[in-house]
Amino acid sequence: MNISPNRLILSLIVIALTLGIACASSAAVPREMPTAESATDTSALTASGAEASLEKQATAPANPAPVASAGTEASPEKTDAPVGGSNLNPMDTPVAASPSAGAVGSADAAPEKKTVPVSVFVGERPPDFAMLLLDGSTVTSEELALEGKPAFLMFFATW
Amino acid sequence: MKEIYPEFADDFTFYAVGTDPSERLDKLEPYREQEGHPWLVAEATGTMLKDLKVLVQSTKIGLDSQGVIIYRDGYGQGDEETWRQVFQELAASAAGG
Repeated sequence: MNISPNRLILSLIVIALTLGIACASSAAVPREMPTAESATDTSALTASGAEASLEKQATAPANPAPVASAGTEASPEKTDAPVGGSNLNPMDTPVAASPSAGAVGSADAAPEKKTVPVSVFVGERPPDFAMLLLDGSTVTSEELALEGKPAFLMFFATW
Repeated sequence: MKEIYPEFADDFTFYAVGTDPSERLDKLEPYREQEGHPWLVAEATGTMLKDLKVLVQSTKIGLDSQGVIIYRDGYGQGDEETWRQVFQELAASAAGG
């Protein structure tokens, strides 16, 4: 009853300020927590996600395997590709992709050609070409390589 | 070059490829005979010259037994020693491959 209006206003301001700080801090905590977690644990989350998807994969083939053997081989391959390619190790993607892209049986022949890049420089395989010979036959670069005999090409004109 | 190649004729095949589209085989072959060249003449087809980036006369490309380029040179006569060395390298690739 003896409180002066000034004191009342002052105390109200103090209360308001403390409430405001309390609200701000309570609002800041939940904001910070997820961001901190998401910033630091993203890899862990995705890794666990990958593991989970791997686990799914590991368990999944057990079920669809009998179905796949009936003729739906494409579906397990489709599930394999995104999981192994995108989540695990990006470096594995090309390696994993090349054997799966080629036929399983011809996996030995294909990589040998890929090891030599195609170019016009020494140490590399030239782009495919074909030459017409006097007898009307055509010799291709592929035939030369298959023949296993070296070749020397000299480009000239009569002038 | 034409004096040395016969020594290596069994080891690799020498193709003299015409670069002038107006010079067909019927013109290249008489020239070869006239010059006494001991190699085959050939006519480039399609985009061979462009693909192999043959930009100057007398470009030379050596392919080993696997079809990999082991020698490339542009314009130049070269000398006997140079060609012998190049031809020996080609022959060795045949023996190795």
